[in-house]
This record gives sequence, C-alpha cells and structure tokens, in this order.
Amino acid sequence: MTLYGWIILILSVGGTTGCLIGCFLRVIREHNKADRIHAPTDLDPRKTDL
Amino acid sequence: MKPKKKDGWGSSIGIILAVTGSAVGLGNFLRFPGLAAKYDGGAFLIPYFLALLFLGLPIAWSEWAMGRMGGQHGFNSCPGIFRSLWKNRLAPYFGVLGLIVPVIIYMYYLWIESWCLGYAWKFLTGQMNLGTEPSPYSTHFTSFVGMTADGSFLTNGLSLPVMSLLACIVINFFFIYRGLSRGIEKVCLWGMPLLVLCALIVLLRVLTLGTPDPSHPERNVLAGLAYMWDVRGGFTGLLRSLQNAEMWMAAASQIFFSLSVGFGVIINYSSYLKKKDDIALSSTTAVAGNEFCEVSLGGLITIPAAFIFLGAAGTTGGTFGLGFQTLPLVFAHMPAGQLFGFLWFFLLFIAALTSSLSMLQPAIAFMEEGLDLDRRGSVTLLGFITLMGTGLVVWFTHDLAALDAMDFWVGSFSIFLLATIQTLIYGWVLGIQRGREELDRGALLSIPKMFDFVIRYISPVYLLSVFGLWIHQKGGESLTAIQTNPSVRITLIFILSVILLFLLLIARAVRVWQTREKTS
Repeated sequence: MTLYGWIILILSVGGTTGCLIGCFLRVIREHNKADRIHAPTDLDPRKTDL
Repeated sequence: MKPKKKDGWGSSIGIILAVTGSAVGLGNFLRFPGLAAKYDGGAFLIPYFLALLFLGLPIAWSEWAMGRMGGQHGFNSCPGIFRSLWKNRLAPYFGVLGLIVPVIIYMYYLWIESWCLGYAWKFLTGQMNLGTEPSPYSTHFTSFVGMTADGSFLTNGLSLPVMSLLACIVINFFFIYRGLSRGIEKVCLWGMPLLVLCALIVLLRVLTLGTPDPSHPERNVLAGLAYMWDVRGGFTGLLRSLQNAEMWMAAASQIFFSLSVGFGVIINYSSYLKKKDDIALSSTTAVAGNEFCEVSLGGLITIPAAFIFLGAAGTTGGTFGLGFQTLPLVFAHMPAGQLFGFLWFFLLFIAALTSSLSMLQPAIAFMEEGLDLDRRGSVTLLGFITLMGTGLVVWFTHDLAALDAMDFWVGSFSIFLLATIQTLIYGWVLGIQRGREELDRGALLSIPKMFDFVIRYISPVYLLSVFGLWIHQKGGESLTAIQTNPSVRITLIFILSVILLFLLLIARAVRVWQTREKTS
C-alpha cells in the first residue's frame, strides 16, 4: 500500500473512531454529572430514616 | 388542549443508540465498501467526508432540532410537527412522506432482514457448506429468495426462508408493541454493543488471515486493505479520480442514505426529548456511531476479506451480490468460516433489526396523536397494512421486481424529497435564527456558526444537485420498468394507495387537532 493509502486509512479509521470515542465519553460524563446534580434534590427528607 | 405525549426515552444514551441503530444497516457493511472499491478506493473517501460535513451532519442537526421543537408543541409525527412549525394549511400533508417512507421501506426491509437471519441460521447449523466454487452460492441465493418466478418464495410451504420471515415479523411486532423505552430502546441498548462486538471479532479474523492461499501470494491482508483504501495511480490518479462526477454523486448518496436523514425517524425520535435536553452532542454522537460502523468496521472487513480469497473479481456484485453470494463463498474459504459466517450474518441481522424497529414508530405516533388510537390499535392497523405490502414483495419475487420498485420510488426518491422539504422548512420557513436557538438550548456541544450558512444555502443546493444527477442516472431505467413490467405497475399502484390512505388519515387528524385547539 502506498503512503497515500496509509494516510487515508489512518485518517478515516482514526478520525471516525476517535470522534465516536470522544463524543461517547462526553455523553457519559454529562450523564454522570447530571445524576450527581439531580440526586440530592430527588431525596425526600420525609422518607429518610437516617 | 395539547395532545398528551404517551411515550418517551429512558436515557440520553438510549436515544443515541436508537438513532444509531436506525441508521446502521446493511448499507454500512455492504454498500459503502462496495462503492469505495468501485470508485478507486481511497479517492472515494474525499467526496464522502465532504458530503458528511456539508450534507449529512447539517441535515441531521436540523432534523433533531425540528423534532424536539415539534415535540414541545405536543406533536411526535411528521404531519403534526410540520403543521406546528409551518403555518400553512398544506404543511401537514407534506408530512405524509415522513409516514409512508418508513412504513413502506419496512415492508421490504423486513424480508431482507429475514435473509440475514436465515443465512445466520444456516451457518450456525452447518448448512452453508456449498463448496469453494461461486455458482452454488448464486444458485442458493436465487432459490432462497425465489428469484426464478413470481410466487416461488411461498410455494415451498414452511421452508427456512418463510420461517425466517415469520420469525422477523413476530420479533419486530413484539418489540414495537412494547413501546419506545421498553422495546426499541432496550433492543438498541443490547443490540448495538453486540453488533460492534461481532464485527470486531470478524475484523480480528480478517486482519490476521495473512496469505491464506500460498498459490496466490498476491492475495494477502495488505493487498486487500490496499484495494479498499489505496489511491490508485498515486497523486495523478487521485486528481483524475476526483474529476469523476459520478463518484461525487455516489459518495453524497451513500452519506445521505446511510445516516437515515429524510427518513421520518430522527424527527420522530427527537420529538420525545424534553425542552432542555441536549440535541447537539446526541446527534453528533449518533452520526459518529454510524460512521464508525461504516468506515472503521465495514471498510476494514468486507472488501479486504473478499479480495484475500477471490481477488479483485470478488469485490463486485452490488449490495445483495456481495452480501449474499460473495461473502458466504469467502467464509467457505476461511479457517473456522462456519463460526465467522454465523457471526457476520448475525451482526447483519442485528443491524437490520435495529433499523426495522424504528420504521413503524413515526406512523404509530401519528395514529396515537391524530386518530386517538392506543398503541395496540395503531400497531394492529399498521401490522395489517405492512403485512399486505410484505406479501406483495414476497409474491413478486421474479428479479426482485417489487422490492426494487419500492426501493427506488420510496427508499430513494421519496427520501430525497422529504430531506429537501425538511431542509427548506428549517432554513427558510422556521428561519436560521429560531433554528439556531433551538439547537443551542441545552447543547453540550457548540455547533459552529458556519452551519447556519451551510444549512440555508449549501445543503439545499448540494441536495438538489445530487437529486438531479441521480434522477438523470437512474430515472430512465425505472420509468422503462413501469412500462414493461406489470409487477412494477402493481407495486406502484399499491404505493399510491398507501399514500392516499395516509393523506385521508392526515385530513382527519387535522380536523381532530383543530377541534382540540378550539376547545382549549
């Protein structure tokens, strides 16, 4: 395979894979962050028996 | 009073996987690699990624934005969403495309899905060992789908192909009936990782094949990768390839069909989101997921595998030829081919299932909000309509005439029309300013300002140019088929009947919505 072929292969496969991983990590991070923010407000003090 | 929303998504990951599942299908693993091999390998990727940036991504973003906006007005179906965004009495009737496109595609896609299931079963049970010559695989496919004569698919009674189709009908309706979060979302949450896992196992096998046939040392992994990815003829060859207008059109069509934009599904799915839910990052992630399956998995598996065992001649044959005739032959040559053949067709089945599950939801949403039917009623009515269509497709099997006619007029032509209408509504009716506000609300990703210009001017022109070239190239052949083939004419009459039925239902739904608005 020529150099052009390797460049296109690495950029295409690396680009799409990197983009997916980057986006997904961000989705998961935001998902977890949202859980942390909402968790305390979701607690009903009347139902806690601490 | 606004119509009540009856369903919703369980999580943001759920909708991302559901949209990705809807987009990822046979085209990712068969059509894309076939086109790249046909159009000079690596050179194809340049127009392909440009089309992604200027056509695919902008239309996907705008579709998500319009869907969530329509959902805030209480509508989940295309006619309702168009009516809420465009104050024109004809607006809901343009939305008929957002209903009939997925419903009619479902009718023939279900059959293709059953081929994947049937082939997976045959590999699992060792029934696909047909030798190492190509002709038995062609004969097997012809017989499996009943291509020799109309009606031959059904005349063998409860054969494996018929049983596979019945299994697919039951599986689809079971999960569709369960609803968005308990049915479609659950299947995608499990199905998409399973699909990627199967693909990674097959990919590992392909990349470790080395030079399996010592009598053909030129057929090795590197040569297979080169056939798919290399630029033939160096820099001069690249420049020559880029002058091929047909390649630009093929690349744009592939992006367009692959992302499921203009399909009526994304606009419906995003309408179930809440007002401040993110759509920018979710839509981009769904697009990235589709591109990963297409470029990184499909691009590394299909053509290299076919080339390693069959040489350049094995990389042609179109989607069905490559998928159901060439690749089974490739697995016959491959060490442990029975296992990898099963994994391959099982992953194609999962890809097809996650797509087909999405196709009835837009019409179900319409029947629930416009005709006041409950889920059971709408699923039953749609089941009856789609079974009639599937019956037509599996009866007129000679040269797959009915399937091809539906695929051309609905699976290609109508999708272009709907995408054009959506792009014009977003860029020119809704307006860039309101569209941008909608996209930015709750956004976890900043979409570049340049997108506003692209969606208003570049995307419609790009879309209409590709549409025009595509009609020029394929239209004549399809018009000739109408004149010469009675099966095609019957199929078209059926398509027009379904359109008419849905237009009448929309007229009734509009009256229901007007009455609700007057009383509220």
